[in-house]
Amino acid sequence: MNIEKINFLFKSCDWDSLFHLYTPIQIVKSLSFKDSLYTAYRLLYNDSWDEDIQDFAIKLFNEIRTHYSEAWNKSWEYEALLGLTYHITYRQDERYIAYKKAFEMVSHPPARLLIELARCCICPGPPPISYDDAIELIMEALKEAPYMDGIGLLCEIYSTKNNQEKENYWSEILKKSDKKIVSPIIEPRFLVDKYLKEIGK
Amino acid sequence: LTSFNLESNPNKSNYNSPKYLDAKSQILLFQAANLNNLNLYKEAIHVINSILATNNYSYDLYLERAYSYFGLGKIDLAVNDYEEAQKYNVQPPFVAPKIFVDNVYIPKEKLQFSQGLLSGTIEGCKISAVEFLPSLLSCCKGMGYGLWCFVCSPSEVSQEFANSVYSLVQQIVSNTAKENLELFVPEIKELCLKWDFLDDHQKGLKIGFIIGKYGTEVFIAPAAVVKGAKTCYNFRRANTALTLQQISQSNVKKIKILEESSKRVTLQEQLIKEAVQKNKILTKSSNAQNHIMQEKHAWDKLIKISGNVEEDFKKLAALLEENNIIDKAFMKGEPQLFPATSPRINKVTYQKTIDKYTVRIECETYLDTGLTFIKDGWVVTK
Repeated sequence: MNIEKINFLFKSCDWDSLFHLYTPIQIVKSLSFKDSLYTAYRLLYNDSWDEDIQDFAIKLFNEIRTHYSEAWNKSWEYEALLGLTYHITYRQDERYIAYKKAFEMVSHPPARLLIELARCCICPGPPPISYDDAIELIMEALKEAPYMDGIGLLCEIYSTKNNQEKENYWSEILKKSDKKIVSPIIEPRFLVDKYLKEIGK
Repeated sequence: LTSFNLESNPNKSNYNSPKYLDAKSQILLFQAANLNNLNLYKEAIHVINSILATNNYSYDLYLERAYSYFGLGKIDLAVNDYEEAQKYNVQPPFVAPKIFVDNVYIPKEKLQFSQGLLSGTIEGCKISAVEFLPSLLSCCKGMGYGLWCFVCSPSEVSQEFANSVYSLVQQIVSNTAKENLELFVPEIKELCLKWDFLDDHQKGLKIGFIIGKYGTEVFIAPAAVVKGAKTCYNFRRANTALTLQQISQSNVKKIKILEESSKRVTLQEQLIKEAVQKNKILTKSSNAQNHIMQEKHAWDKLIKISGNVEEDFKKLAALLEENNIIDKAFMKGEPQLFPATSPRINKVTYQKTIDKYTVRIECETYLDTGLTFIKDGWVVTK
């Protein structure tokens, strides 16, 4: 009975009802791996940017990881998506764990993953990754292209390190850089396409 | 009872389609009511429309959609539904309204209480309050401020509204520990402390003042503390019903209420703009405060921590505002946009040295409204 209702709500894009009426386990058991992922993705980017719904999205992602472990572990993208979810919801410790796992799953990490893993050094308390290691990761990403998000992060790290000289240097580069050159997003393509289609873009 | 109501009603012929909700529709209506309680008005309308599409109509259904439209500030549509609901209102007078089932406390002197409530609300409406922001962020177009007070006589204040607000405050008073009173706006704190010494007129006066100044939403947090959500929802609904009832009575009343509503909206917009210009530190929810005040965020290096999150956050906000941290000059790195493919949120970081310590603040700005909220912050400890 639940399976039919949940599938109906999924097809109707009725995310709020799914959130209000069902538990993550019920959703995962009723929907396929990809549909469960899209539900979690859509709840993360819920229309009212509601924290409670985003918390639910985290639980759902974790439930998907457990229930569909084989499919989940086939690509680093899902762990990176979980890292992004934790980043959006300001859970810095979990963010690092997820990004690190994604990083370890891929032989040639994409620039955005390198930058986001480096970003983990900016957090309250002792950083899980040293500033120097973070800088190294960003420099690796910048070999590909002068990504503005990477350069901006370098400025932040040097500022936090109180290295005025390097901060000024990279700030100047940032001012001159093309703001359109941003590292390519690492969210699974099928989720992005489905989302854009749903919202009519 | 349902068939009795239908048969016994002399105006039966006035009903468009005097049907009653089937079991499935009742469940959906219950869901819609829950969505309204969560301010998810559009979603509630979606659910109600799906019931109407199956040719199910009822008083509760139209009234529920009236609440949704009211919440969205679509007053004309709300009034239409309110009036439509009346066509299906076959509840005989001897059936106690739902409110009595849920609430025990009612004012002894209803008229005196209502008189006080009206006078207090009018006085409260004259005062602007930026300290309580959640109401300013709602899309009720100022309707949560008891605007019926401008067109209503004391005897016209509905029993439902008087009882629900009285009951709500009584519940807060009876169930709130003194140490928790600090969480509330000063007027609610004072009301709780003096409640037992006030007569019904004075109680009405003080409650009305709070509604006029802050809006009905100000009671949400105290009600949550005492787990009085249900009473709170009844109160909000009673406010909506009373406002719609007054609007639907005459065009003069409608114009007056809409005028007052428009004034409140202008005032709200002004207050938000001023708050933004003054780089005021605003949070969207108490979750953010709890998160920001975690021990590892090391605020003890800059402020004296008492352990009371609300109180400590107030101190922190004052410190950050004093240091004007939310200023372009202290922006670090590049803003991040979420979702990246179709942005709605702009995440910006500010960093400044305060008393030799590097302070980092992360804010989110809603691209559609321009409203900015602090989401995270800490003292950099390396």
